[in-house]
Amino acid sequence: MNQILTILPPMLRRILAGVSSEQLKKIEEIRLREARALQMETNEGSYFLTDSGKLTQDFRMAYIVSKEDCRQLINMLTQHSLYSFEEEIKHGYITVAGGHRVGIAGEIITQNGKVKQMKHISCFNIRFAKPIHHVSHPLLPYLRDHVQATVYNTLIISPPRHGKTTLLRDLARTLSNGNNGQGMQTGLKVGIVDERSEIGACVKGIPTFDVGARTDVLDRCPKAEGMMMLIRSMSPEVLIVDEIGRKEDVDALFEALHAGIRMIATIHGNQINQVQKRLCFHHPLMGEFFERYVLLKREATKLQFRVYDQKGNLLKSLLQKKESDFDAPIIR
Amino acid sequence: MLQLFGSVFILFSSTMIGFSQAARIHARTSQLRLCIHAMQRLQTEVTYGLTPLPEALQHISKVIPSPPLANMFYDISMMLSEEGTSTQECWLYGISKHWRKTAMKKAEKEILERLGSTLGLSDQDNQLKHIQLAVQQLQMEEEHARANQMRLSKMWRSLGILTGLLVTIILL
Repeated sequence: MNQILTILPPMLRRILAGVSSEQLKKIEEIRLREARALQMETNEGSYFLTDSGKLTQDFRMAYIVSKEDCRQLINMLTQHSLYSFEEEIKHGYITVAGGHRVGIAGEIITQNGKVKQMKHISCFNIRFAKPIHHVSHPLLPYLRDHVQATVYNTLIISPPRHGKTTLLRDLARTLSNGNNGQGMQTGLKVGIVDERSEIGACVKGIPTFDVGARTDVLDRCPKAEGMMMLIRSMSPEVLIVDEIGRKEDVDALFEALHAGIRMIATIHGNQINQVQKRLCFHHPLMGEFFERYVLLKREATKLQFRVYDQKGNLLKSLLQKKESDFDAPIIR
Repeated sequence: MLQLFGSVFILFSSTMIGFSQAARIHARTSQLRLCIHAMQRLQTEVTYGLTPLPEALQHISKVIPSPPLANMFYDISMMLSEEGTSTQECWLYGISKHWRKTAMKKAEKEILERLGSTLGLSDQDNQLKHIQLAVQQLQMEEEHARANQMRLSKMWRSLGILTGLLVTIILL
């Protein structure tokens, strides 16, 4: 939270300073749209922000984001260097220190039908990343492969913003550290291919989130290529990747399988068979690849896990009260 | 006695002025050279390393062996890391603050200022073009300066001595 505040334009920082710390804790997204109302999403709902930092439901009362605000924000996001963030801008988001992701939208310039660049960037979605330690602990007994002393190939399924990455990060940390009271004494060598730089939020190659003592992170690397690189170079026992779904990713998964490496991956979706069908489209054997499926669902303050086995039978349904063990943000 | 002392003083100071002007001309060529090196380094940082501007300028300020230029790049990089100001503002401010301490002239100042209006605002290829253009222009200035260097510095030196002599003769 503090890191994200330093990149905000002075005007917005002033406005946020007027928001009560109680409310700040609940912020999940801050949305800027040039010449339109300043908006934020909390876990309780959507609000607009007035000049003085008051929450309102009426967008006519809200602070109108100026062109200058947007310019300053993009300057701070890219450190005055659009050229070094070309790839990120093409993909539509920039990850800043602390693992927070800023989604951007503007006018797209295409070349041969492909996205080449974005200009007039005018919409921003600042999403806050919050590490929640131990969130994966209740899940762990169902993912462990006792025979081989490792974990099952696991696919985590959830719609966007339900905590996939948070769960994945904590799984990496727990598996890698070992000795966690969940029966796994020695940790496993974990390799993370962090294409969006969200799991580890690396700054100059060093993860800013705790991803565990035996974890190697390949930052900002395309997944398929990254998986192969890690398999060859770092001999991981567990590979962790975020948001698989393309053909290349699936091919790399099978390569990992042949190398005897276990995979933990995430995918967008909300039903198992729907996801399985999508994966089978790329490879007929995909339906049997994952031995465990975890379906994530988040309600206001609760987190629901449903663990399924290879065939899609429900093993366990867990309900966890979502604890917010991150500190209240301090506005400077 | 006093006359003799005075004339020696005048002669000495005007000679010194001449010499210092000649030294400035030498300094200008060498600083132009360094400026070109700095821009070439920036080019590598931008295209190969994709280093963000503040960091790239900081690297440059560490390796450039001329204090006024090093301070200039350092100040720009520091200012870029703070919030609020645009890239161009930082760039122009840094240049105007330190330019007096360098031996360089208006022509190269304009080249650098022009570069500042595009720096960081576009993709790699475009950046490369702008930096290369600046390098070329600086190189032309350098060639020009080098060609005239000998002639001009000799002229300033003799001019200094001769003016001193002239003034002493008139006053005597």
